[in-house]
Amino acid sequence: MQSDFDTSDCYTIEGKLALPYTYFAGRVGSRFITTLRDQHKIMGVRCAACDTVFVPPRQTCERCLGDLTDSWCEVGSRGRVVNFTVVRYPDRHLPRPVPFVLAMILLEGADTPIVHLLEGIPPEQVAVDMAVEAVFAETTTNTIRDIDHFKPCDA
Amino acid sequence: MTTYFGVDVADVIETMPSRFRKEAAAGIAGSFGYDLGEAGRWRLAVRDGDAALAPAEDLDDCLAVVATDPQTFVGIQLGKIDATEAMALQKLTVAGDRGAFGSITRLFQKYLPPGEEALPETELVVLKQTISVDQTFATGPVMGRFLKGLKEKKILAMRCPVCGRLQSPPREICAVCRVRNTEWVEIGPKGEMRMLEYVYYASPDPLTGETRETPYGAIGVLLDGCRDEEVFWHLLNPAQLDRVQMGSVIDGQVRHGSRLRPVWAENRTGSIDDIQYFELDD
Amino acid sequence: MARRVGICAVAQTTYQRDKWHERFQGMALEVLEPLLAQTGLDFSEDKGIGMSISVSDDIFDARTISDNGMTDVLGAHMRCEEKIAQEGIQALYYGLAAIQGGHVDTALVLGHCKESQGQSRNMVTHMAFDPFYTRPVGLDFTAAAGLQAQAYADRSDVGDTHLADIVARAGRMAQLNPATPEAPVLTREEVLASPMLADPIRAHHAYPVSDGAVGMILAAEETALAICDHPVWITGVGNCMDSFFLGDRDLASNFALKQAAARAYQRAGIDQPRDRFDVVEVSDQFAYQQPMWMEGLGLVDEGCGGAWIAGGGPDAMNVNRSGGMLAGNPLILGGLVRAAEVALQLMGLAGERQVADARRGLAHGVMGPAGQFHSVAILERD
Ligand SMILES: [Zn+2]
Ligand SMILES: [Zn+2]
Repeated sequence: MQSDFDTSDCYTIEGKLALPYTYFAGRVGSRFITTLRDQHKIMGVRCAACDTVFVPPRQTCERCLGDLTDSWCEVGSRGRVVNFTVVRYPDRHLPRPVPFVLAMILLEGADTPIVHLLEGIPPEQVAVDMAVEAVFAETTTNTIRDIDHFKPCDA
Repeated sequence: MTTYFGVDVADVIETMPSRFRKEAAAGIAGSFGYDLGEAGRWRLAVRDGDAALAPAEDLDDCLAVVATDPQTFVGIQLGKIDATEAMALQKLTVAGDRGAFGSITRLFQKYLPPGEEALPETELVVLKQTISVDQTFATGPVMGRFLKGLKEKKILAMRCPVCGRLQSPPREICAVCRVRNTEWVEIGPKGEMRMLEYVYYASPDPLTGETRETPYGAIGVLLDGCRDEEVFWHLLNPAQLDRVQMGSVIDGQVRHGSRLRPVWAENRTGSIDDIQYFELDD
Repeated sequence: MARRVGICAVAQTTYQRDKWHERFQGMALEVLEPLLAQTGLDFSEDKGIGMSISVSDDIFDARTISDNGMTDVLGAHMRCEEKIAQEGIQALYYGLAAIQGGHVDTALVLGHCKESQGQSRNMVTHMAFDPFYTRPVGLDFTAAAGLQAQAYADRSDVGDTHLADIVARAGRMAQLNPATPEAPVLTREEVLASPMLADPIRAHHAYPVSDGAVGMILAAEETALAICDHPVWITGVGNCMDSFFLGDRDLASNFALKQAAARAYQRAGIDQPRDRFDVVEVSDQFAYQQPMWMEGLGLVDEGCGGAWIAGGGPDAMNVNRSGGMLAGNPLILGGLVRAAEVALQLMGLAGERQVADARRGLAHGVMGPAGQFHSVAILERD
């Protein structure tokens, strides 16, 4: 602050940024979510040009620009941890009380890991390469959280 | 016959009666023409929930005639070509009653090439979510002084030292002259109605996420002491929406609008809501 | 050859945790007025500043089209006005392109942000994620950085002590920078004792929440030489955007930064960047990023970030003499403040932190989760 700055008329007002949104998952995203929700199957799309299975699926391969709309393939609901962090700062947007583990999980048959919650194990025991499996949610949110979380499993 | 996208045009046309959805045809009657250039011309007659299709030379008696090339026609049926785009490119034109033609496109189930089974309709997923982040807005010294004035039932403006115009709510500088405003002036609090926006559709207020009751009036008031475009924006008493008169100055001819006065909130906190709204000063 | 474009004036506010007494307009004026005074320019239609380019963010500002309410304090009323809603250093790129393209001779660049306004910076960066796939698991830039730090630290032997030393040094450097009066001055032990945020990132490894504004005047060569004794030339700029989904990237690979740097070096005619810069400013939003970005820029051997810190590399290479992001700059302004700092160094106006005879410098900006987008600018003086 400049030293001669007169703050006698300055104050603050509490307000909000609050906006109702309606997000559309897209056709590809809708199929991914309804399949996950109704059949407990995790679907990816495979780009034949670069031989990559993407999860979550998308309409276009950003590398080859090819149309992936009908290139569905099922990936496993088991995978392994490729990387993780422990979230320890509480905040309103977080899905769990802290601490909780966010892990990058490479599902069987997929080439791109997804980020998800890893539970059922103390954070300090989580290790790269450990085998994990999806625990499906009992109630749907029509999001990736139709997998409620992942938990450790036998390799 | 030539195929497009692996599909025979005749197959698309000839399957139309079998794809006809009786239940959707109630109240639709008339003939519609299809002019597919080299592929041929057909007339579709719709009456009493039935459809009859026949090749035709003369389509003059049709309510509407769609003219396009066979490739575009098949492409649209298969979802490979966007109909709106084809129209924009003049590859597809509709002569006659466009609205009537629009209604018959919904009378048919989607065309499927021989051997292809219909996929179940995909559910389209949407997610309703309100994003909400609490904010602490700073007034700064200029807006702060203005808002404090409202607390004391005073409406303050700042005067530009160069062009002399008044701004309220005041701003740090005059945008036109690009100099800091320096002089504080009290204006109003009564004034004359200059502009009214009669609002029927309200967007959610981002400060609360809630939607204001409609209709309401957003008004520009020329407060006493101000001139020309120096209007002050606020709300009008919704009960008086239809009783106010707008003022104007056209070619120097002044037409005075209704006289208005502010209605002050009981508990004033130093915010723009310290004025509830303006109302008729009668 | 495209005409040269110079930075002719630099101004900034202080960066503080909570400028509760000032709104955006006030902060912007605090930058605009000295810029006009330094250059003698105005906004007259014929020979004034030709374009105002602001930097702000709708969600940080809680205002749609966040530049709309700012035109008057940008001198932009009824004039050519543009906004960068990306890392602030992109405004430098935009101005460079507009001047080299011949659209204008002079441009004002002015970025502002109040991170204190929203209840949580992490909530704002959370909005950068996808509502179906990545928001529901709670990702924000801090958690994403935790994942990247984990992946990088192993690869480059960067340990907790190295990270603590980076933070402690940033505090020491910031004490010589009048723009960062509140930068945390910490010992290695204090950093090591701070709680974990997102392992291996500790609370003190994260850049402080801050408010402030920064600006520059850019001009084509002829004008630059007429209005300024010591213009700093923008000789190379490059950027690169990596994949949106974290899983589509190798988080430790520095892919986008390597591309951005290669583009900037090529434009500046630099074959081998090592030892070519007298000052370097990288956007280290989290401590691990300082060695990581240095590797990505090709200024430190790949996989040797830990050894570089231990060997006193940051001092030897004049990295973040300003204190860097760790001393506190708003997220969206990080790279623009870095460019401002390099320009001050090259102009010889860096006060107590001046690096003697600095002739060429590098400024770096980064945006998006875990370094999705990088932008590099090379600045030189005659
Ligand atoms: Zn591909
Ligand atoms: Zn004026």
